[in-house]
Amino acid sequence: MIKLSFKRRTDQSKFIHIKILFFSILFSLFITGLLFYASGFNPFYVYKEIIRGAFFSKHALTEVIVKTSPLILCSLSVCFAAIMMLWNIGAEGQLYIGAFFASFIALKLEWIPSELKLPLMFLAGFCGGALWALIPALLKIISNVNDIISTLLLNYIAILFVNYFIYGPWKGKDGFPYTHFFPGDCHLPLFFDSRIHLGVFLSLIIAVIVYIVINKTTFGYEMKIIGCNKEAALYAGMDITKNIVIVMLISGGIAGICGMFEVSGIIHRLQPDISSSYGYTGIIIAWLCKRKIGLIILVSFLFGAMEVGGDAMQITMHIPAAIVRIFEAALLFSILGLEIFSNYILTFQRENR
Amino acid sequence: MVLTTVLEIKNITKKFPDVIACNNISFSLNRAEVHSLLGENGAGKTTLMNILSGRIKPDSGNIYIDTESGCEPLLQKININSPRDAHKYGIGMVYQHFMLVENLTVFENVIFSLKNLPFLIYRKDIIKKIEEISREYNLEVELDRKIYELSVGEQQKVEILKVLISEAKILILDEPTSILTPMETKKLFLIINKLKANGHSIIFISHKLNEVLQISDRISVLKKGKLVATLTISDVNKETLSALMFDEKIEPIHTPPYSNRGLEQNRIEKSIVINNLTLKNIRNVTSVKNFNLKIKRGEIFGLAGVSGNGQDEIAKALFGLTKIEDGEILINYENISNNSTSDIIKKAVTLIPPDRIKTGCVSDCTVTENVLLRFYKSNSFSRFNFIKKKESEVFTEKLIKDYKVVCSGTRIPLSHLSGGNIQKLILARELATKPSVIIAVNPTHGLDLASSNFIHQLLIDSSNHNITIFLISEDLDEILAISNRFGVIFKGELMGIFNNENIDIKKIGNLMLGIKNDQALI
Repeated sequence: MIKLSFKRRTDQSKFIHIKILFFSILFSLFITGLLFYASGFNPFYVYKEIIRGAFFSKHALTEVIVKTSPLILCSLSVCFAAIMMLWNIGAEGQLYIGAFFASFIALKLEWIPSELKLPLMFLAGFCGGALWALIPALLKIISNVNDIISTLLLNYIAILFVNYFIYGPWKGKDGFPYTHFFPGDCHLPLFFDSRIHLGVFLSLIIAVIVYIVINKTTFGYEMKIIGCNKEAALYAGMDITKNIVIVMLISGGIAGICGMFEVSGIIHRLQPDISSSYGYTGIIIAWLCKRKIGLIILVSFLFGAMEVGGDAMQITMHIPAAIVRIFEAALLFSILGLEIFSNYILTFQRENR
Repeated sequence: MVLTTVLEIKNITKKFPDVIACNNISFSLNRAEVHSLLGENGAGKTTLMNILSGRIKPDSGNIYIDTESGCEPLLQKININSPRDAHKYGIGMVYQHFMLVENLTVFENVIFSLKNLPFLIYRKDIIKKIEEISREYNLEVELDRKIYELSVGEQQKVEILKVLISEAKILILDEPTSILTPMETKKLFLIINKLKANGHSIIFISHKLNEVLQISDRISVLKKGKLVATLTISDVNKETLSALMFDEKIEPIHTPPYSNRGLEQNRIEKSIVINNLTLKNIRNVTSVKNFNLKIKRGEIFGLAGVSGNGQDEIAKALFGLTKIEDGEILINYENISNNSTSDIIKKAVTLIPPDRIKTGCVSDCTVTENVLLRFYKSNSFSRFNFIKKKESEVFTEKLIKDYKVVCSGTRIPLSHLSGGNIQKLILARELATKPSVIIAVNPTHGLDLASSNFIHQLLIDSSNHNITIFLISEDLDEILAISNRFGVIFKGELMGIFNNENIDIKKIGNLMLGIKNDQALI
């Protein structure tokens, strides 16, 4: 009789996470492939179209890069908090509030000198997101409210709050649910004759800064220790309360900056649906990448490509772009399922009878 | 009496990544026998018993059991794949760390173990059954009390009750005496003898020679995963067993008594002064009340007592980890009551926490990161809030070398180290902070003799260098071995303070149980 059993790995394989990622992608492609087949398309043809739609023109490629930037920021936001075992499911809401704060500067404070407007909007975006993340942080400290629930629920409040202004006091003259366009001095500069804006580069810089903070500083060290073992952190004299507040402020702030980039770099006004659930996709990416900032940039790029390819697919073949979401979900599921292999190996044993 | 085998283990092997926990072990158990498994910590006793109770599956080897199917005793090969299987075959285990649900009552805990628990629970019938058993074996416990309200000894009774009510015929007791006072141990032995008389078979796991000699019919000695010998009680004495257990002759450290230790008795400088301390435990119940203590500089002061009598709270209060309700603590004549932990650390106080895995270290982080726990803010290891990686590595390597910590590198996760080596590393780290006061809580709990000796020697050396050591321990032997003076605590109250010479163990044991007599010299 052949027996299957899981054995604990004696050696920690370095590439195991990459391998898991690879197999998960393959598996998810298979699942979505079945869906394409069921809707009457040759899956290989569809994948070819998606890849063509995402990479095979300058326009497509720049669009992918434009989509990558918010994904990087949102997954950084989630990842930063996750190091301290705080689950920030609220990047989506913080993004909206950040966008709202930035829009306030752009629309309502016209007396501010032009040169100062963009920096102030950046700051406002950060503060908006940080403020929104402060609520769950305080709730957690004062009465130990679960951060997953509070951050998630605040998303709905944030989006409806912003919508109220869009449909109400801030509605533009033509009566549609969006604000006026921002004045020109509130637009992030564009590059390469495309929609690539300054924020794309800034998000890479932010990624580097986050990497350094996490891996090289005493603050990052404290975060890691608190995340791994609270008791030990208290015993080492660390102030957990203070750290929860700071980490949530920064995590929310990063998501808020993302909102500012979206309104100031791309849409140039405040409107509903400024985020195509970047905050939620960020959770998936952060989970896939396990604190590896380099990997976050790469995976964000791939997810960005899927967004753009998915849109192209919808236009050329009339397959709903929502299938991309199914792919993302299948990917997360298979990664979670395969994670056991990072610590265990499957062995086949012949049992002697 | 005819000996019938009820359980037989043949050629059991279990490998873990770094170690072979059980190497080709064969072992048998007779009806109505107490068979002791003797061995150092890490010899493989607990792994073997976890295999029997279904918590771990062996890599190879077979288990046979007397299934009592016919009138002939017939050993049948069985597979124990889960604790449920063990339960089915009548094997019951009393774990060293109790498997009780703290927030449930005794009754609720016990009924989990009933075979064929009906969907509707008829309380009266079950209570009757429990009472029958508890009367027979002197296991009386109030059934409606919550587990956390019970003393450790009572909790152990509940564990045994659980096993008996499951109609187990084979009982495994894993280090049952490690948490008991001498008196309670005596009571436990009475229970074991009664069980034996009623035809139960018992596997008694211990590393204490005296107890094993007292209670067993046969003794098997384990060393480094191998079964060295199985002997009948009439063939052994302390020396032969000790020779089998240890490679070389190791004797526990026992320092000469108080007066010979070069510490002037009339020294007046006080290192720790505790005045009228009142503390609450995590359940917000007052656990220490009006506690007073003065500890001299450079002495090892022991605090003996059964666990859960307020020792943990006192240690936490000294280190700023719990709120002081009333009273004050002075360290080196400075009031540190309700100061933050980081402020207390700055006063050269250090704590060796009771639970090294949960509190003393971060097992998922690397060895270096664990060493940094005390130093990451100091200028030698960080500049402008950036950690100096290289200096930290070099420093960690030095600690590892100086304190003979066995580990394969500074960048491996701490969880790859054995318990003894983790404790050595923690001690190395704490001593490197150059403390003036060390609070050590159960510093050698669960360690083998060699590691224990190493740690005791370090503590003695430190005290010789005028470092004050407050040794809080559940292990009375440890306190008697190395302390200059010691106190006994019961229910948060100091029962007496003694100079460590000519100690009447029985009296101390009584005090640990709260039985006072007036001969204590304070």
